[in-house]
Amino acid sequence: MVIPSSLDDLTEHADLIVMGTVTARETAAEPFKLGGHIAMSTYTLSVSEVLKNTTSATVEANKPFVFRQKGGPLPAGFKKPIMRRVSAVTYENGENVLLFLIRQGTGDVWSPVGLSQGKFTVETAPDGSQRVLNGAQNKYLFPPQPPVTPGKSAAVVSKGTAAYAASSNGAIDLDIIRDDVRVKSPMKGGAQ
Amino acid sequence: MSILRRYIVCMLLVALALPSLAAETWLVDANNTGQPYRWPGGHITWFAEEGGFATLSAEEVTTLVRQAFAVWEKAGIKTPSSSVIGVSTAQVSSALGGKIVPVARPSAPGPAIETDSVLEHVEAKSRTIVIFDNHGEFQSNPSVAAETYMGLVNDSSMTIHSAVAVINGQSTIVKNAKDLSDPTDPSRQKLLATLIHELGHMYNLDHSVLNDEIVESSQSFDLAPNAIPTMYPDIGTPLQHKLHKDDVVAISNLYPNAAYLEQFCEIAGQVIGTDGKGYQGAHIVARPTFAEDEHLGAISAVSGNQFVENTADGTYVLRGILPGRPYQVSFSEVPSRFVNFSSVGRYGDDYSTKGELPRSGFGSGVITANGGTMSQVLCSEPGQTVVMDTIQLDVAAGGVDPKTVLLPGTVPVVPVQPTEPTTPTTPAAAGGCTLMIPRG
Repeated sequence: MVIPSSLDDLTEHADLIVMGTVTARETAAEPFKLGGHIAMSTYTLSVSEVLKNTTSATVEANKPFVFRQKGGPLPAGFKKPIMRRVSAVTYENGENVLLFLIRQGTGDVWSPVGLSQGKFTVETAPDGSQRVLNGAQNKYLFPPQPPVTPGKSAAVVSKGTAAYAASSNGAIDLDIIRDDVRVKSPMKGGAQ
Repeated sequence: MSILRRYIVCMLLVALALPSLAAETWLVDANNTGQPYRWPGGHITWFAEEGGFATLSAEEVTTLVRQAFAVWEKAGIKTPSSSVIGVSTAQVSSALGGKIVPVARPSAPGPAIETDSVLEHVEAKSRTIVIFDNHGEFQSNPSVAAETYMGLVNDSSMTIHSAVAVINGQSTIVKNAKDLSDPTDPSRQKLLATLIHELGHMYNLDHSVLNDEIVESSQSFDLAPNAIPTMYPDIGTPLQHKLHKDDVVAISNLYPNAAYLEQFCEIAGQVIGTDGKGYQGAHIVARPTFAEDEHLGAISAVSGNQFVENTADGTYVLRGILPGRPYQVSFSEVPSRFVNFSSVGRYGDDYSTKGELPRSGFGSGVITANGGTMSQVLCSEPGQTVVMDTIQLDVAAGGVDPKTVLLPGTVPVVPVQPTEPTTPTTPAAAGGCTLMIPRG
């Protein structure tokens, strides 16, 4: 059961916020501690930008970041018994993504915060701008603001809220997310 | 055949044969009988850790799990003749089997279960356990409240014999709680709702996205919090600790008692695709059009949900329908954010080798009856089945073919098998298999 997460939640809980292009993926079955086997995928991300990194892992722009994550499509004809994991988030080769990742332990296994909520696909709009959409269709990113109380001035509508409201499919400009993350969780020494 | 070898072979068979996920039933018969897996007699004996959870004592944790089981055990539907007191409709029960001694973790507060011992409990001892994962050893993602895994199942008798629910102690629900001991604390209620949800998976229920349009339009659960089913994929409101009618119908479909079978009607129909074959995956909803709230009294299903994929069976049955009361039946797509991820219907499995079915582009609309002449239906007597017109989805064109075909009496309705107490059989004795499938 998943907990709806706002952009603030995603930013706060992520150990690593990174953008890039998936260049390789491989899936294999591994024994799972609750029984049977589980599919484990190894992804290579060609990193274009690091917005947050609170871990000891070395993740830098213009360098590949190799990470493992539960789930993924096993090769056709694979006969080894597996445990099916229905809530796994997967990535396609060539997919441009913005990831809010949480580290599982101290190794190389990671998971998106809030599962599909922590994975944004990045697409270029006809006007050349980059727009992002997460697995929850950005639904919970910007919680609705409370109604205006008589006698009090209305709260300022955030850029994200306005952009989401104006979007036909929920996708919003990447810069809105990027700026928000930088304000809420500034990188030491600036973003890479 | 050695136990290990049989275990591996069975795992393979189950993995290949039971890929179907449905809106109301999680595991269904691979032989396409339309029958689901069930706990023998609808009874779950469960074990808890001998320790507390966050600020809760061991006793409080046990009480919370008991309370969550009791919600399913008392599930009932209001009938037209008893507008205040509903009738119990589900035949499920539970009992605490004992405690599991946790392993001390001096470096962190609270007990923790030894991960290696879970295998022994669930597989070797056929135990069902509820893990209160204080340290995030199984799940540490703060935005994931819990997960449930099926353990031992028996393919011959189609029975479930063990399962594991993992409650995440690192979730924001727990971390942000003011007082988990206070029954009025919203976090406590969300924790209870999470437990009820996971136990629903244990009983073999899938997710429901009924009334998702409210969340979709308002971006929150606050507009009509009591309209969100407990089996909704997300935990968004404390009121999910109260079962929605859709939840009650789901558990009653699996474990019906006599009252459920005698006092209500059902609405049945089928959905076909452009090729004329059954379409598996349309979201079907029956909403009351009388005084009862259209959201609170609604019931949902996914076409073809009782059958494994690629069987081209697009039938659906909506049970728990009140006699003498009008309903409107509609179809829509499963919301895109629950496709390919959150396990609603049969589209939540990223391991499937099944062919891609058209799953969107057909919009939504009303399903009629009597050859398009009736936009609302009612049954006059309990036990009746109202058969809807068959709808043909023109997926390729992105719209709905106006053709509707009346097929009275031709929809094969899968009979509900009443639940009767049985002596639990051990999976090993009946050549059972082990299956581990997680559900969030």
